[in-house]
Amino acid sequence: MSLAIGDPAPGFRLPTTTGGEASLAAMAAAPAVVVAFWCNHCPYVRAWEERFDAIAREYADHGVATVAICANDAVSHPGDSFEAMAARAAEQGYAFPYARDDSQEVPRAYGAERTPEVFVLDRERRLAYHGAIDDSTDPDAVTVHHLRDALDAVLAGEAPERAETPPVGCTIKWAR
Amino acid sequence: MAAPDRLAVSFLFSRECPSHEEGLALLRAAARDAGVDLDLTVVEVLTDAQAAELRFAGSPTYLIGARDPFASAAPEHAFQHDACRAYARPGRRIGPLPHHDDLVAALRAGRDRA
Repeated sequence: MSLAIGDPAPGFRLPTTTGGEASLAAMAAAPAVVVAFWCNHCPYVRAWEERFDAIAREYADHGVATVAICANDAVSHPGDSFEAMAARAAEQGYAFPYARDDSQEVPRAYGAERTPEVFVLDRERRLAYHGAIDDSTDPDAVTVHHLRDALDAVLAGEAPERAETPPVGCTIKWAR
Repeated sequence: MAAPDRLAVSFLFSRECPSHEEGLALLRAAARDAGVDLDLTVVEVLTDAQAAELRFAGSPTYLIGARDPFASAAPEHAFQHDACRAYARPGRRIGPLPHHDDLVAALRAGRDRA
């Protein structure tokens, strides 16, 4: 079951592809946090990758912290291994930390099921938005910018007009 | 066996990937634009064993005259029923479905081979 809007976000501390750690506690000063469940292999992630990176980059200027978490089982999907994640993040020059969750506890705690699937946390680290990045895998066909709209609302101290949208993506690959 | 004036196409999909309905609609639209009548078989892939047997490269997969026009040399993962397929799209983009024009071209090529 997914977090409900207004629920406090579960904390986490995970290793990142650059050798550091990503934790919710370390993002305490950010006015908003984006937690995205992510991976390498999924075509939906690939379709949104550039747009998501641009959003992370742009909103970092407003203090927003972004983290992407890959929890896919690397045994069944070696393309999502930690080494492959590091290569992808470096190749694409991700503007956000790309963290690994081998335990798969973080997506379970958030109730995430797909990649990509984003959770926007407000200043109090309560869930303000959950769902898709925008409304189309095709960047030329986007009409509603869900994640941007949610971040604009949270930064303005308001609740997003649309707090939930269905995430569109591959299923998270749970360990079997 | 397809009727002589129809092109045999199999549409392999998994419900784990949200693009299957859009992918089927794309196939029908591409067939219309290619001027191809389809002898269509729709196969839902439900297990990894079935995925391995079908060499299922991910959802959706189009087999046109038993050939996979979008096959890559090395699949990125083992054959699994819940895999979503990545397609190269114009502008060096990747997406969950092929571009309409690429599917039209694949159908025309399939018809010419038949």
